[in-house]
Amino acid sequence: MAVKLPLKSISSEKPSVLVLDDEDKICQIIRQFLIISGLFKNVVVADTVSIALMKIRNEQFDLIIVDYNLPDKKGTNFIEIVRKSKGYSKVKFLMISGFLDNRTLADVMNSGVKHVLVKPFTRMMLIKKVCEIMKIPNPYDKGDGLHQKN
Amino acid sequence: MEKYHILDTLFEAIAIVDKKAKIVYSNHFFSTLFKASPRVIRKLETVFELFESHTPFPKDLFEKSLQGGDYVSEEIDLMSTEGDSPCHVVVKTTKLEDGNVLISFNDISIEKKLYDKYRLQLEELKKSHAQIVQADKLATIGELSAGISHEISNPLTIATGSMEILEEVLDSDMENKDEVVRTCIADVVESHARINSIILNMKSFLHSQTEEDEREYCDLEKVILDSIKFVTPSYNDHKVLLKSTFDEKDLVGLVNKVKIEQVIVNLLSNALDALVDAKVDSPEVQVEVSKDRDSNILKIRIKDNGPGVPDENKEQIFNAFFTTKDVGEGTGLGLAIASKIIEAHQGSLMIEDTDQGASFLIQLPFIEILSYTQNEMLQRARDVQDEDTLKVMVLDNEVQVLNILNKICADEGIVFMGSVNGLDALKILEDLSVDLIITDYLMPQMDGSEFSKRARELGVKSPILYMSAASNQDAFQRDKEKFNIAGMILKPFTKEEVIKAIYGALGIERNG
Repeated sequence: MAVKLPLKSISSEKPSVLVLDDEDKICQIIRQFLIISGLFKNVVVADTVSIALMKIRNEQFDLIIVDYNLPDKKGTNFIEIVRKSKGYSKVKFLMISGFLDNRTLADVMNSGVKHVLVKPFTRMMLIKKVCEIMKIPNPYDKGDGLHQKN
Repeated sequence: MEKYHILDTLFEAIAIVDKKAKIVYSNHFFSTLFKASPRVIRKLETVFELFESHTPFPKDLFEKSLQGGDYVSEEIDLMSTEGDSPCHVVVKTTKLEDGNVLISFNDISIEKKLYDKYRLQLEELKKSHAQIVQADKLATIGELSAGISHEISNPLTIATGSMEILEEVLDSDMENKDEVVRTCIADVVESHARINSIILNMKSFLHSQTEEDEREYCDLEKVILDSIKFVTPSYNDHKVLLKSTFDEKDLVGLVNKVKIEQVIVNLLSNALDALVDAKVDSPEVQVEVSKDRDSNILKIRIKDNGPGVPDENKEQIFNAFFTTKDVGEGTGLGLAIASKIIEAHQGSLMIEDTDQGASFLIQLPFIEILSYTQNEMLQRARDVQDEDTLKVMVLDNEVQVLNILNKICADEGIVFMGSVNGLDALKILEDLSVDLIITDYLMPQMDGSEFSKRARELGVKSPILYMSAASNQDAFQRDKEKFNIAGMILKPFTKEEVIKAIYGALGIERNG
């Protein structure tokens, strides 16, 4: 089933997203998925916490997608740091993880993150989750085609 | 009666009855134990009346004693009509000089309670043990699953993600389509390789051998004689004969010496205990080691001329905690552990049907097969492709040589198959092909020339190397052309010399 590639539109209203995962290939794949969906003005990737923190200082993000299992810190630690940063109290988070057991889930919930996606996920699953979080319409919903953001 | 009154001082219940079983005297303890007052006792016609009919008094003992002699009953439960719970006793009857019969009751109710409690606790222990083993298994599986899921999730994400992007790209008309397609495909291939290696690592972890499990080529005759040495003092104490027979020289196994000795000692001790308990005349235990060439099995048989194992127990004796021994004498774990050890050696331990006595049979696969399968598994766990792995067979009747060469080959990633006997080696070569054969020249049953001749007759094409002291150079020169012998390794050899000879022989083959 061919998906219509989105038209290039004026993107000033669209949100920006940061993707943090220690596997660069995964960042690239997620980036591709998000770009193709046309939902975001800007998709930035980082494969370490330090780089991610740097990017946050340079630019305001509306959504941060972060992997739970990072080599230097847990994803939840990174989220705590970000929340304390200026202007980031309202940012939305999506946590991705390779394996969710009770302990991991509890840790994620405790850090205030409500949205989790388990690897491996398809493009559809990712976009659906993202639209849920950002409260924007899903461009891939059956038969509706593209929607204008309100 | 006056003459009996000293019996009142005893802690054993005593009743003296006449020919008609009427009680003519009973001591204090008799009243206490059976809660019968003197008045009640006086009213009894016979001593039997004091006990409930459903807990029968051993009347036959009394009747036998009337003729003369002492008789002892088994443990029985006697319920007094005046009592509220049965007494667990042993009854003894004795004819007295005056014609009366003395009946004494040895109360072992306390011992019985303790014994029952012990058995109960043993059952609980068994259950706990089973639970722990199960929980441990589940915990391990759980840990493994978590670990693997986690490790695999990343390459899996990359693989599925790349495939989705591939779909997109093929449908679009972007500029460097080809390049992107190739990148995606490469990513998928790499991800699959990563997943594959994770699974191989898991397999090798599961099969990983701890130091305890390390196996070596061992002369089984020595292993058995050492085990026998261990039990000889006990055998001598009880004057039980212990014989061993070996149907061939050079009976070699690929085993963990300590563990196999543990098994043999356990079986020998069991045999000794059975013979001593049953008080057998001329008790004897035999250990027989033989090779069955039809089924490629090494057999170790331990048999005794004791009472044997009853059919109803034969199924259970290998179960954990099953024991026919008395409390405190045995845990019932010996055979269960022995069985596990032999299983870990890819063998089996079982009890055979016999006319007389018990016969336990340990069966182990031939070393050629065992060494091949074991090393094959190890190499596979190291993620080496089948075609690249070299398979080398080494034939030498000295186990030390086999062990050294096994190590050298293992370090080089070469699959090693050891053999001590030309006939066995030839048999294996009928079905399995190897890349190279190294044979000792001077072996007792068949020398290197004879082996090479027969191998070539069989159609074996692999290069053959002779291994020997320098004095056998002529044999090498002579056989070089006749049997296509690729080279010679001089003993004593170094690791480098062996490696060089192996690769050299194979190099020659490839060019020639």
